Amino acid sequence: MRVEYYCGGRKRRVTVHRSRQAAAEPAGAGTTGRFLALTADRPPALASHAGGEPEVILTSSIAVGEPTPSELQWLQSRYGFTITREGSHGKVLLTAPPDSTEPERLAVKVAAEVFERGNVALAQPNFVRVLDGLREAEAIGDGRWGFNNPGTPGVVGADVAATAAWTVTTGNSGIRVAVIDDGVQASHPALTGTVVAQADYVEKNPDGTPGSDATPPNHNDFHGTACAGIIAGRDPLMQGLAFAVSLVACRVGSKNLGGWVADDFDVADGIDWCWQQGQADVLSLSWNGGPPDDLRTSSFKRAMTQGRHGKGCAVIAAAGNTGGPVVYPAKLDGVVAVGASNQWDQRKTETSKDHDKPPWASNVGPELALIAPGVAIATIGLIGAVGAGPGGLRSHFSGTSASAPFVSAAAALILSVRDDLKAAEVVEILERSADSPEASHKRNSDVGFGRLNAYSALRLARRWPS
Amino acid sequence: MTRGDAYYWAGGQKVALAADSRIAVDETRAREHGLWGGELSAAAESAGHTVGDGMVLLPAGSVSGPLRDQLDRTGASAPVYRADDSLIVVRPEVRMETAPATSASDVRTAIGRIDSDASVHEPKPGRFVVKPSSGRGADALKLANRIAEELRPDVAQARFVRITPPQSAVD
Repeated sequence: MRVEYYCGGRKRRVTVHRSRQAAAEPAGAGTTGRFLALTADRPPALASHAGGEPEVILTSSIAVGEPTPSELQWLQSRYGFTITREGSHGKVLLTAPPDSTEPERLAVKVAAEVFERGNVALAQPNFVRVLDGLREAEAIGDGRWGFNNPGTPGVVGADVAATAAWTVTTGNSGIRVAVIDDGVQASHPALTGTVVAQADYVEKNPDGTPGSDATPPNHNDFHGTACAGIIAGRDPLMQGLAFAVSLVACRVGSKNLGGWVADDFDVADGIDWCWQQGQADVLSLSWNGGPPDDLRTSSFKRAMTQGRHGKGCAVIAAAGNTGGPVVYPAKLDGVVAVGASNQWDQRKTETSKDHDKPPWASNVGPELALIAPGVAIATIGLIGAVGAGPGGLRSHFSGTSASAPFVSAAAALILSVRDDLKAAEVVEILERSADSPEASHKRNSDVGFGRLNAYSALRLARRWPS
Repeated sequence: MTRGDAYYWAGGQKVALAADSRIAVDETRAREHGLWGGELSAAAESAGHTVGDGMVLLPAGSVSGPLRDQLDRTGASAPVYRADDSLIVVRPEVRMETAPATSASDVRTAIGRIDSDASVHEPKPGRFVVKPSSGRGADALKLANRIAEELRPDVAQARFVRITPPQSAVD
C-alpha cells in the first residue's frame, strides 16, 4: 500500500509494509496509548521510501500546526479526531477514534485533507521513525540540491522547498533585490530582463559619479553573477529561487590580491544608491566587510529604516566562512546573518558530511539568524570573453556567499505576496518559518533559528496580520 | 598618534589599527611630484599590486628610506594598517554625517578649529567631505578622530580602502 503525506509543502509518498520482525514483535509498552496502532494486537505498519530512506511506523495520530478552533472542531465532527496533546508553538497532536477500522490509513488521509484545506501551518501523520546512520558523502551530487534535495547524497528535503514555494509565487517583477557585490553580468542570457538598474562604484565616470551602464565584469568578477543566479536566474535548468523578481546590480568592489578590495565610501554610497535610486526592496550582501565602521553602518541603517518609503529594506548578509564569529555587516543589528547548511541539513563545518574541498566552516554566533544551502551550489557563471565555463554555468559555488542569496530571494518572494510588510516583519517571518533542529524553535549560535524554508515562509506571510 | 597606536571610531568604540609593513602609493600624485619612475616604478613593477583608484600596494622595504619620506611628505603614499583579517589603506579624505538640520557654517567653523586649512564640501544636506590640508592619509585619520572626539557627529570616518579575504569558500 502506498500512502502520501505533505512535507515542506510537497506531497511525499511512502510504501507501507509489515516486516516479519515488526509484525512478530509487539510494540513496546512505552508506545501504547497515544499511538493506537502500536498495541500487541495491532502490529505496527512500517513504511519505507523507495530510495532506501529510513523506515517510519504509521500511527493513528496526526500532528497539526497552528490550527484554528474551527479546524479542530471540523476534525472532531468530520472524522472523530480528538486532541491527545498540545505541544509548543501551536503544535497539536490528534488521534483517530479508537473504533476506527484502519486508524493509520485514516490518519494519513485526514492529515493530507486538513493540509489541503489550507487553514493550518502544517499537517502530517505522526510517524514514529526508525533511524539509521546517515550515509557519508559519495559525491557532490546535483548542485540543485539547495532548491530540491533528492538526497543523493544527503537527506531528502534538506532544501529551501523551492518547488513548493513556486506553487505560491515565483516572484513579482515589481520587487527588486540589490546584489551589492563585484558586478553582475547583466548580459548573461539567464538574466535577460532581470537587471533593471545598475551602478558601478569601482569604475566610476570621469566626474566621480558611479558608472550607470553595464560595465562588463572582468574575469574575476564572477561572484556577483553567481549570487544573482541563485536569486533570480532564469535559465530553465538553473532557475533562481525568485526567478520572476527584478535585480538591482551594484558593483562596489573587486577581487584582487587574493581578496576583495572595496572602498568604504563607495560601498556606503552604493548601499544608499540601492535603496534610493535603485528602489531595492532587499539588499543581498555576500561579503565580509572587515572591521566595522560607522559610514557603512549608517547607510545600512538608512536602508533598513528609510528604504521602501519607510517600510525598510530587508538586509541579508553572509555570516562568513572561517568557522569564527559572524562577520560585519552580518553581525549588525537588524541585518539577517546567514550561515551555510549542507545536503544533510547540517551546519557546514570542516568535518561535516559533505567533505566540500577545501575544508571550510560556516561562522557562528548569537547574531546568526538562519542557515541556507551553501555547499557546491550550481548557479550561473560568466559568459563571453571573460567567461569561466561553458554555457555560462557554474557547477560548484560554495560558502555563505551562496547561502545569503537564498534568503534574499525568499525575502523577495515574501514581499511579492505581501508588499505591505515592514522589513522587520519579513525578517521575523523568515526566522519563525525556518526548519528548526530544536523542538523549542529557539535561536542557537550554530544555526540561528534553523534552515530556510521558503514555502513555510510564504505560508506564514500570507497569514501574517495586516 | 604614531602608526603604532592608530585607531578609528566605530559604533562609539575605538577600533585599533596595527601598522602593516606595506605602503600604498598614489601613482597620479607620485607623478605630479616627479616621484614616479626609476626606483618607484621599478618597485611597482616587480613587487606592486594595484588596489584600484590608481593605488599601488608595495612592500615598504622595496623603496629606499628617503623616497619613502618624500612619498609620505607629498601625500603620494598612504599608510596601510591591519585590523582583524583585513588590510586597510587610508586615503586623504574624511566623510562626516550630521543631523540634516545642522548648519553647514557651524560645521565649517568647528572643523576650522581643528584644521584651519581643511577643505569642506557638503554634497548633500548633513553630509560633508573634508580633506586635510596636507593631502596625507595619516592626517585624514587624525582629523577624523578629532572630529569624532570633539564634535561628536553621527559619523566621522577617514576614507578606507579595504582588502578582505575571498568571499566564497570554493570558487
